[in-house]
Amino acid sequence: MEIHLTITGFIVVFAAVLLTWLASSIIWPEIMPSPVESLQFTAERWRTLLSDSLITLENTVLGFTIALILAIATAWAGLAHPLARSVVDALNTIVQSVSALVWALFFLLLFGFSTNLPSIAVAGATAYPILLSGILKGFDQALVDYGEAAALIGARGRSFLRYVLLPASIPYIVASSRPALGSALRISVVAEAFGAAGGMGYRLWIFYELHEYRGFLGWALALLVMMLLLDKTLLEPLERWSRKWL
Amino acid sequence: MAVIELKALSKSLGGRKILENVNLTVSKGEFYSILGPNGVGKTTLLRIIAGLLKPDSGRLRVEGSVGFVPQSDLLLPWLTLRENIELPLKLRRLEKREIDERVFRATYLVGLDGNLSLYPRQASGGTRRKAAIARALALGADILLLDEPFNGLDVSSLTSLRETLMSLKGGVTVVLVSHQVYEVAYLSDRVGLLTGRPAMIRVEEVLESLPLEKKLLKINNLILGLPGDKEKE
Repeated sequence: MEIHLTITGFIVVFAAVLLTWLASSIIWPEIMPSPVESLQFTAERWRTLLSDSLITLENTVLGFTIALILAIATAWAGLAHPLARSVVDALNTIVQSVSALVWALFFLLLFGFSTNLPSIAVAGATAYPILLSGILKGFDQALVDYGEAAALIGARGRSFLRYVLLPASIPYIVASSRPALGSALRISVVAEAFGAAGGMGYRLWIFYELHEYRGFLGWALALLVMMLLLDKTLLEPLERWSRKWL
Repeated sequence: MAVIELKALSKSLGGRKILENVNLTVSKGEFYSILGPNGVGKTTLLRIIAGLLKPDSGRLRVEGSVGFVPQSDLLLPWLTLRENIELPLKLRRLEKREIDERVFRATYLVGLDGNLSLYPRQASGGTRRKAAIARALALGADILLLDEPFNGLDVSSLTSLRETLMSLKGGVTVVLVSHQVYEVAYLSDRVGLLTGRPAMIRVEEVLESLPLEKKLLKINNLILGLPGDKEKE
């Protein structure tokens, strides 16, 4: 029943978007191409779309992975001493407050154009605070729930991290991974648009500059589908799996 | 020979004195039970013996390897029962063969052969308690500290766990904290009553070699403070 409602919800939203698009293409035919025109244009260039999707996905996943490792290391360091924890909390608050646009421009300044590095770094910088918050919450709860169990079995130092803290925090890590990866994907596209040699964002910007709105809308739709697929086929099942022992 | 010896032990928690002048001696292989009202400090006493808490004053001597089985089992829910028993052995870098042997021996002792691939949430309360005891035994514990192991168990789990503990008698030294009078009478060689605020072990009764009905009567009298109880020095 629940799955049927979810699917129905998606169908209704897609139908509404499609109808609005169709209506816009009738009202402003010189600007808005029809959905059929856009889909046809996109389908004819599926190789470029595939290559762009893979570049964006690679940038995002790489940035996300670096952010995940850094967030775990930061949260782990925060357990060393109350002072270290206060530094980590302050860092988290500050990083949360930095705008994604600032990150994008900052990394472009740092790494320059025509490279994937700004996009990877922006994805990482966007995912990092979201992941760090989730991991800190997970570690705090794990200490309450399993601190004594760890002492009983003699899990200390790195063993404590590996066998107790990380497994206990998996539900928190996975739960924060969903919004973190989603944000990273949305923002890394912005960095690609500002300066990169490929990727969904780069292509969207090129189509916009060339007034090729069929491609612009087709790629935007493809980006949306990519995000949904990633969430529904990977992140959501992963979140369900991570809660199986609770 | 005494393997646990507490002399004039005191402990405060959160500014409140919980235990004062606690004296206790438990001999090797003895099954000693501690009775007492809720919140009196029985768990605190066990945690001090386990080394998880430090006493404020007094002397504590424990000879042997201690295995503490807390009320909540403290099994890791993401590991199967077998993995829970194995993990502390892995952390001590024991060889695989040694680990397998210890796990086999410990699970055999507590009667846990078939259910080891279950996750804790899939197992019954009794099975979880047995796994927690097996974990302590696999670590080579010759002193078991059991905190309310019968709490929340259904009749069949309770009976099975009671028989498991009975089968361990003599081989390991056990200090049991429980409210289950029947189980305490059935299993214990000696009982102590921890009462008062701050609490101390005020009276003790030797039950060893008495018939079960007499043991139950003695414990009843001990709890009710009826004559026949021996005041502890």
